[in-house]
Amino acid sequence: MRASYERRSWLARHVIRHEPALRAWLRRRQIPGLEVDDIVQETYARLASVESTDNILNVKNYMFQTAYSIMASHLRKSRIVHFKAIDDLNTLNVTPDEPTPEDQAIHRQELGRLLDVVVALPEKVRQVFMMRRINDLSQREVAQELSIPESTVEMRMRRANFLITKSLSEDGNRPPDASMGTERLTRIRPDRDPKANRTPN
Amino acid sequence: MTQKQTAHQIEDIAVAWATRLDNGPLPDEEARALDLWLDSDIRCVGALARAEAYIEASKKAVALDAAIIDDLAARHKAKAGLSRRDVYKYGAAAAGLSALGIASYATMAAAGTYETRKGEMKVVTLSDGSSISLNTDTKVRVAFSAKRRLVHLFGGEAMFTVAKDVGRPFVVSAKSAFVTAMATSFTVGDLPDRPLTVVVSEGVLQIDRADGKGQPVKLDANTRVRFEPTAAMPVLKIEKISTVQVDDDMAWRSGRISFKGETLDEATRAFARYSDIELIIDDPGLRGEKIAGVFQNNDPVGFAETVALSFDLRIDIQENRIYLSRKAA
Repeated sequence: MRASYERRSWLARHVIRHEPALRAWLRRRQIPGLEVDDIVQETYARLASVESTDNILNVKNYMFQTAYSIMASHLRKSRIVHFKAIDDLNTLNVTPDEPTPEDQAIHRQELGRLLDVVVALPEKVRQVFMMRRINDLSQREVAQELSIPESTVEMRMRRANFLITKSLSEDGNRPPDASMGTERLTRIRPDRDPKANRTPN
Repeated sequence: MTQKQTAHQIEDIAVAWATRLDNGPLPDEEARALDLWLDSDIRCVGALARAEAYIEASKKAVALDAAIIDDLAARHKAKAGLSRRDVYKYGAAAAGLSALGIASYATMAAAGTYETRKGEMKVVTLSDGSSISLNTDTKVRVAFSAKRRLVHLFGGEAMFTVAKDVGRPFVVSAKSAFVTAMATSFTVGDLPDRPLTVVVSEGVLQIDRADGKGQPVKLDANTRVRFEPTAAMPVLKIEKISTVQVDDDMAWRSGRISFKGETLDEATRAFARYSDIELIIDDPGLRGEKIAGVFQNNDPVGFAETVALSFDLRIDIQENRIYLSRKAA
């Protein structure tokens, strides 16, 4: 099921900022046959469907623990004991969230990162993104403004969303993952993507 | 399941659905397809929630300044060609994109008082969809009624982006004037030792004097008005300015401060608005030196260091003071 609006905002406000750290943490304990991306997606699935978020006081900790339990259950299923992976069940001492006083600084930092990411978008993608998000035009209005088909606008917006997600979810200092970087970052034209018919268009 | 989808494939599809959902509710047929897809693998649920969360987060871009993004993007492209001198000249902006100090967050409000401390910046979204960006050391009170949308500015500087609402004008009351707008965007500055200033960046607005005297004045985009105080009553000084000047005036919205030929003295006073760190330049000749560049407004130390480098000065940084002086010969 799709997460409710409230839940999506909660994820946007409190969860995604910890994803780079979670990925870094997961990468250090990689399990053969289980990708970091798989665990991250499952983690989000749990966070999206947990009954209530009211009792989650330390979001970062909760997120890491969720990821850890997902990893552990895959491990149990695979019946392989990876000492390295589970050795630090107890050393999962994640630094707690620091809520209000730091909020502003975090916000500033996040907006600064978003600015960097938007600046780095390919020109046409950035143009559409800015018209949608800064000038607050609808997809149709952007299409009219630029005299291009609406489907093109959607495609560019999809690209923008993909690149922004990628950049914000990874540590800024880390070069793009070689295993996916080249293949994925060049896939700019979904028209020629063999999987295109599996995506909405 | 015939073949297990990879996390990458799932992510691509999730982003595509999230992009589509962002445009509004799906037609029934697509909604059913989405449900089927979500049911196919638990990871799909997570991937969609994640993609939608990032889209939500990317909407914060509304607080960013389009002109600055364009500017940085152009510079980003040309970065390799920038000389060392240019880097000094452009200060923080060119030296590191992420060094930009942007502090803003949005709150929903229909009534209430909002203020910023020194060095702070805030964006308040009002119940009618209008928004107010508060620059450093600024205070406003919002008092909406059925007849009009009134905002009092009690000192400082704020930019108003007004949502259209025919029959309910948006009125900013500041020191000696009422600024009335329907749908437009403008800045009102009420700074110490400076005349009350209004800059119109978009649309049309009307200014009435608070004392009720004189004719209301209508202004359109790219206009700056100063209330020059004279003995008896303020005199309105109206001038047309370029879009670039308007943008420079708004540089604070993205945490920047822009100088184009201002003297060092003027620049240090501009920085004083944003922090309690005092910049002291002893040499009067030095104070008259003109500078140009874009800096981070909450980083007087960075500014002083850049200045020291460019003019080959001695810099002495203390806890709340920075001294700049000529090097002994």
